[in-house]
Amino acid sequence: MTLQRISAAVWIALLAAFVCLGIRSVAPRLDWRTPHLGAPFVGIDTAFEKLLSVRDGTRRILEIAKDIQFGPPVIVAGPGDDTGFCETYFSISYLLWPRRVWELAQVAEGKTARFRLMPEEKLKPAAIFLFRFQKPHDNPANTRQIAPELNAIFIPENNR
Amino acid sequence: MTLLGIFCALFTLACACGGIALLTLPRRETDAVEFLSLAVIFGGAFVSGLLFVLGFALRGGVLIAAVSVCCVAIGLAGIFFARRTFFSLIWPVPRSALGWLLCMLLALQFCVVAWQTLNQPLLWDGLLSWEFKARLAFLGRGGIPLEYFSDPSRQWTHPNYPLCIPLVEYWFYAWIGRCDQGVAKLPFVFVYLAGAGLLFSGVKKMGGEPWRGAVASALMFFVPSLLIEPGSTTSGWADAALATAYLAAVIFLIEYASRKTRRALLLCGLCAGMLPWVKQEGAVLWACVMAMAFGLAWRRRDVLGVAIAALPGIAIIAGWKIFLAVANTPHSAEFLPLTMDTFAAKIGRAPFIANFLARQIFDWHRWSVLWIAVLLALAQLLCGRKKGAAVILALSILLPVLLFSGVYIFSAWPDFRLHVGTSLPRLLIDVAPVGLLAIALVLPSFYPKKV
Repeated sequence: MTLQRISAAVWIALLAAFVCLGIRSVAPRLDWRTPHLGAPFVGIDTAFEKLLSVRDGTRRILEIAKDIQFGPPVIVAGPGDDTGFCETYFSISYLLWPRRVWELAQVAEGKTARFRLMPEEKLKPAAIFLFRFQKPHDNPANTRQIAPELNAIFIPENNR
Repeated sequence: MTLLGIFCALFTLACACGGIALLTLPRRETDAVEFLSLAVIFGGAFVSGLLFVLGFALRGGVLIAAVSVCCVAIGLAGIFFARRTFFSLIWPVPRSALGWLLCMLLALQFCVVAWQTLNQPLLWDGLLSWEFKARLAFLGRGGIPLEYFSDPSRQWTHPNYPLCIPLVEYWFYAWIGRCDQGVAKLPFVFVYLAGAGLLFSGVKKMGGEPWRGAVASALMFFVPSLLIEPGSTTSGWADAALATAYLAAVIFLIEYASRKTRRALLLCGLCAGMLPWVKQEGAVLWACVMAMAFGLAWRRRDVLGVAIAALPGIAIIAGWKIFLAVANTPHSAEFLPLTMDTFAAKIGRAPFIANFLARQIFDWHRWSVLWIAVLLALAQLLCGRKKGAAVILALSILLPVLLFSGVYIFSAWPDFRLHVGTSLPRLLIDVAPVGLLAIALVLPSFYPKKV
């Protein structure tokens, strides 16, 4: 009988702790905004808002994608030790299907990139997206800004 | 237009869900909660499987029409079959004020979960591994282009992952006529309901009072990893669906252990067979369930039964492997070859993995006190009278956890600790509902009996 009472007390305490700790963890992360039904790219836009501080990142990239020659690959270049770079690359690659999109990660000597995806063969890209890299000044006509930290550079066919 | 499309997608899915459940649960009196929960699992797998198979031959409106006709036909066949077998559903009705209070609490939880699921945007795996394929299917008018599976620049989207979730999401896209990352979250609301329903009916099936089932369902809400963390229902990743299908398989396995019916074994095999179609690691869970089923069947000299029960899983695993080979999909670069040499070379990783796993037990932020309660419940069950069910519950949790953790010895990531940290907690989600089932069974009776 005593053992049963101890067991009951332990379980009541455990359940109370279960509920309290659960609520403490869950409650601050609940989001009461209106659901996003009817927002085709809400996930990607949320990611771009976090990474690039732009609200309509998807629209901007899709607009630029229309002007990129179809066929040759596209490269996204950025700092290899930056987690935001990986996420930006994934999001751009998501939007540019069915183009092949590769990732060029730059890292300091002796360090390894968090993620790297480049083929062994030489690429002749139609465009390069630069993430957190300074855009080139020599030919601004070929450069388009998507966000202060993301620029697209179109590579003319004879320069590839 | 969007709402009409969502309604049509839901209606056709409901026809398939109901029809399949009516055909597979042909008993005169069936628990309505169990029926509806299983319907969600079977229906989702059926529609996605049909889209995948018919997608090889049909495209666009013809594909949608053919799948819709099949869904309605299977629904009608289910109704016809149910009438012949005098099928009836038993709805649980609370019998006391406290029972009603518990019911209202559950209803409130479901509303919060539905709202959170629909308003939290899809991120990362939900978007890049799952919804991306739904988008490709939409752009391909119902079929994912074969070149995607061999595209070397998109191997990070895991083209080798199975297509249950993406094709269910695509079904909504097909009906609303566009991709919509908000609408893609809708199926996950039903996944949560199915999980909670299975916990409720599973506890009852194992002899527990209804209030225990209600408490188990309610506790799901207080496990952050099941509700809000990456891999949870609201995140739109596949882990929650995998956990629900696994829970269903374990419940029928325990029913087979206690009631010794071939029907329970076949339903266990059917639920387990869905696992490899939901996510790749579902094959590991399927193997665990089938190994336990084989152990039970061997003692009862019912090896034929377990062989039949294993067929859906074998067909799905083999079929998907053949498809990936035909589509020239490269092998996953996430793991090194599973050889004894690699094992011997990398065994030094085991202490880190064991330590990480132990730390999960006390990670309140992610699990509340779930794992402490599960360990206590399993110890209590193993010392109690229902030893058979206790052993199955314990193995259903421990076997997958051991296999999932052990596989990181073969991780090919440059830093395997990052691999463990980013994915092992998510794999524990798969067995968490089984843990809740164990907890519900040992709770002391501090609640009035007639609920």
